[in-house]
Amino acid sequence: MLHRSLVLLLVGMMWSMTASAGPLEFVSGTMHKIRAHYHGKPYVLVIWSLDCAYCFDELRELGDMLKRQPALPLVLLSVDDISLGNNAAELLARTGLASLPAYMFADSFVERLRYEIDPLWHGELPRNYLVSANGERTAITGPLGADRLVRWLSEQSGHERTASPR
Amino acid sequence: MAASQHDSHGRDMQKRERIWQKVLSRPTLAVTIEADRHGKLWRARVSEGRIFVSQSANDGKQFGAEVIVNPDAEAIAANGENRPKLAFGSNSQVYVSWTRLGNAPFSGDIRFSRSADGGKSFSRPVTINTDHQATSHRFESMLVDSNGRIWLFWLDKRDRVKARSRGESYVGAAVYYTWSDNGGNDFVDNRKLQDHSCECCRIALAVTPDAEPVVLWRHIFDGGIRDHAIQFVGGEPLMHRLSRDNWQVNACPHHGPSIAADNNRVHAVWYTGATDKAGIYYASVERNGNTINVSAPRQVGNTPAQAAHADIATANGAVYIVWKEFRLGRSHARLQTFSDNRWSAVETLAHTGGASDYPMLTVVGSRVLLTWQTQQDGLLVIPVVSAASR
Repeated sequence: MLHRSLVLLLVGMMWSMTASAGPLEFVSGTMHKIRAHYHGKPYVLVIWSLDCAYCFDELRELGDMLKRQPALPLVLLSVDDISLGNNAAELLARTGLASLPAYMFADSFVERLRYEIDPLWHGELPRNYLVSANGERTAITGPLGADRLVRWLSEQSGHERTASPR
Repeated sequence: MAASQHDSHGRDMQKRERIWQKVLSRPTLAVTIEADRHGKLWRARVSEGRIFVSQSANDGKQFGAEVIVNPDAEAIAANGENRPKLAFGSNSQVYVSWTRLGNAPFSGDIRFSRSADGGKSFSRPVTINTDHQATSHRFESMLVDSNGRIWLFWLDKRDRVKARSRGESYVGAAVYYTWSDNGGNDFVDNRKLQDHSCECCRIALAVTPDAEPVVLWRHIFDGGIRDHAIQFVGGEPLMHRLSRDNWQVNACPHHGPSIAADNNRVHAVWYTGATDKAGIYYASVERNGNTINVSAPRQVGNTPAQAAHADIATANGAVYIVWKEFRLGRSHARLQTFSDNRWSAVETLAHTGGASDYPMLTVVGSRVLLTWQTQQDGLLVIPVVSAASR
């Protein structure tokens, strides 16, 4: 009995955490963790801001795509301060992206965060990184475009198939 | 059905407005430092929707009592690319301009206030853009020329609204401007300098020795190329292309240029993200009737160290460029000087281990000062000594 209520309590806590947690903190070292987490798997890092009209267009397009392909390996990162977490979460929910891992800058020393992401990125938005399974990375400034994303993803799954017999 | 669509659209707009307003309320490191005609430094800073102006008698070590410019709080843009501006008349006038952000996302108005008593009190702020549409009038820059004329330039999306209402598309924003010949008592009608500027990069202004403003901005050339355009405002309304980096991008660089003029030339620095040549560049510009001669662009700073947000000044026949770099875990204010026809070595003027504003130059008579607001080390004011003068 005790055991069951404890489980229910834990489940309840986990549920409330996922429901209200909002974006995750992106601090010094987070980029390293994301890379490690996706090691050997392709993913797309999508960097955006609440203060960027082109980003709204991109998020809308990705949201539409996610409806058709719910398993898209996208990681979102907002360069707005995490104090705006509710606002970012609201926008992501509205664009149909709430199910994706979403980070937000949680350190005002943004130069260091940018450097850890890519020393050659000067803060232009939106900024996208297509990262293949072998860690090879293509940077794209401006909206990714659904066509390009689809093409890249199909190339990635092609690589995986040729690699799997080994 | 139409009604429910309408409702959801209304809710969307409300949400967007809430997001926008919260964006405005963030604390900021962006300050404005300018020198008046007597070599005294002035500061304008924004807090809780008000602009606080103060002056320093000791080169920025301390600032005196602050005077509030706008008695009613408003959403004042105060970030890297868009912050209040300060300028001075010859008879102890102090002019302040800023962007008041609107409720709708990316909307704003250009605001102006003046002090006739050396900054002791300020006039009730007025709105400079006279179209009063809820669209973008932002990123203003202000200049007072040697005749005392106050010039204001800003990025304006009223023509975009007009085009949209006709079902047409419009690329980017436009550069609009106005001036006042009576110390800001009133301004001439708003006028357009050029269509199709980039939307969110600051406008750089300088004035030639014969009191002609020069405007430098990131423009959207055919094919979505966001390179720089320059225009002398006095004569024919001719826009010249300054940079040919061919940066084709649909994005917000948030990275505007800087400009300075001396007796012979105009000096410009800008950033491009163009493939294989990303970085800061310098070029000088000579006017030749209705054409311009632009020197071969020279790269400044170390791009892999994120060289960014350069500011430029001229004094004593030399050109000074400062910019920000990130190396070894710290942000550095770097300097390079051009004098006697040669470039100095790059040197570090200051560094800080936390967040910082753009490093900026202020010319005080024949002296040049770096001013750099930092989170850990406060406002750094450092005399810039050119390599040649040592």
